Amino acid sequence: MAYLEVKDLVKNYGKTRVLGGISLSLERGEVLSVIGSSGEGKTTLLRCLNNLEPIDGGKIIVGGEEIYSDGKRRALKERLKFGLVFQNFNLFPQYSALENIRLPLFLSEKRRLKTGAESLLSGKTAEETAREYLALVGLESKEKSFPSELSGGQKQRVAIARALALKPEILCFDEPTSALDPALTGEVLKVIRSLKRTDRAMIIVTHQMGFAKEISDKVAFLADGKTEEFGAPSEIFGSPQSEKLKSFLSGEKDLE
Amino acid sequence: MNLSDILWSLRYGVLYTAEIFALTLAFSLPLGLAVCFGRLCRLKPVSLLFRFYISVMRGTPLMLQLFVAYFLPYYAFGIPLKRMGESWLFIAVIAGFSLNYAAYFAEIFRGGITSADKGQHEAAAVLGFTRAQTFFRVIFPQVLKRVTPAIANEIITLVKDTSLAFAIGQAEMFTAAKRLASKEVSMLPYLAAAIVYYALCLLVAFAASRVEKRLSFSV
Ligand SMILES: Nc1ncnc2c1ncn2[C@@H]1O[C@H](COP(=O)(O)OP(=O)(O)OP(=O)(O)O)[C@@H](O)[C@H]1O
Ligand SMILES: [Mg+2]
Repeated sequence: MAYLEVKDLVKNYGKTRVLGGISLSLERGEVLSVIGSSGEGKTTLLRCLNNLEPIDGGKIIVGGEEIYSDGKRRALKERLKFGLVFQNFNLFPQYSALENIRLPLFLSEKRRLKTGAESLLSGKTAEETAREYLALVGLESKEKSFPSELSGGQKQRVAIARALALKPEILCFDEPTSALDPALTGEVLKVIRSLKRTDRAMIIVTHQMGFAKEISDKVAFLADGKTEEFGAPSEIFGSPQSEKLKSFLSGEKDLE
Repeated sequence: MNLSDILWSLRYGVLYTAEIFALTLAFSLPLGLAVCFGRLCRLKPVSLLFRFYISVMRGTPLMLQLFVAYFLPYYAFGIPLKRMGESWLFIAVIAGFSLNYAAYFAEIFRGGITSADKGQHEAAAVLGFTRAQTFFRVIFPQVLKRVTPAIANEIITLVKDTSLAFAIGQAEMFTAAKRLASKEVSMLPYLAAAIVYYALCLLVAFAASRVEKRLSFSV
């Protein structure tokens, strides 16, 4: 069994079925790209994984443990196995770049100490650790800046550092560059590329096929709320099977 | 009597006005937040109850509410007001003002809280914040920033509303000024009172602009 298994995930908004059977699997250290046309449920999938939405059916299994099945809510500690970087950053405007990273880290660490979980800080203070993560995304000089004083690309890098600092085992990105100027996407993609590591899985929803092809170990193509195709990038991009995927790919090519 | 003599002889009235003002603020702001939570409560009956409370407080004159607060022990429980002790008048004034202003503050807070960005709640949730942490660390500072101008407005109104305590016989500044004016047959005591009210309002406006500067982030 793979590290992350999603089986027949179902999600309805009211009477509309948005996800009607998503299945995929992912190993530690792998990167999964999720592609598909607008409105096919890519964001919804990430929201379900991150426990922002209750699910209406199916299973989510992490490390052999079923953490979310048939709409049952799971405990808070399970949520932190996942991290999510939002399309529009959602930094806290009242805090500096450093504090945006330090505060969640500090609060998480406090809770971990109480429950006896492993420390996030390895002997340093939350502030020092936050500073290291800021440096990791190349923003050590911006620690005092407020979100309103940062460019879109810088905001997204802070948001990535903030998510990363909690050491999620599966880090999700929802179109991390789609709110950015083309000139700023490069810096963010560079950071994401550098995050590929053996002990961390990543799920990236993206419309940038070139990036998906390059960074992914697996690709899931969503259509009509289902995983229409799932496989290695060479299969998905090299020999697409379904008509839907073929026409989607040729459409994306026209855009590029 | 010149203006400074008059100001001096109004000093006890000024003190009462300042006390009514400060105590009302101290009670009505937290109470307003609590009422706001009640109004936003997911349990329908609770939310309706607070909605009713707010609508009554905003829909009837403050002066009338002060009368009700003052005479309540007698008319509701048959306790003669003499038995309520010396400070009952003052307590009734503070209670009346606080309950009234809490309703206004609650509506201002509610506006600020419901207009908060959903993305902020979600970011806090995926970062593992508890509900209390989300509210106090993330949402509330943004609400504060958004509602500061409206709250300041309300506080300035409160400065002037303190004179309504006159109606149930609390000897605050306006009462003192009126007494002095009829004794001296002069308008000067009114002018002196006006100057003090105005100075207090300026002080509030100044404090509000300081707070806004402190909350310099943009939401
Ligand atoms: N809160 C909601 N209530 C009702 N319907 C919703 C809600 N959120 C999303 N939907 C619907 O669910 C479907 C999937 O939306 P989702 O945002 O997951 O698509 P997406 O694949 O991320 O699209 P995009 O590429 O444009 O971001 C859409 O048809 C959308 O209208
Ligand atoms: Mg989306």
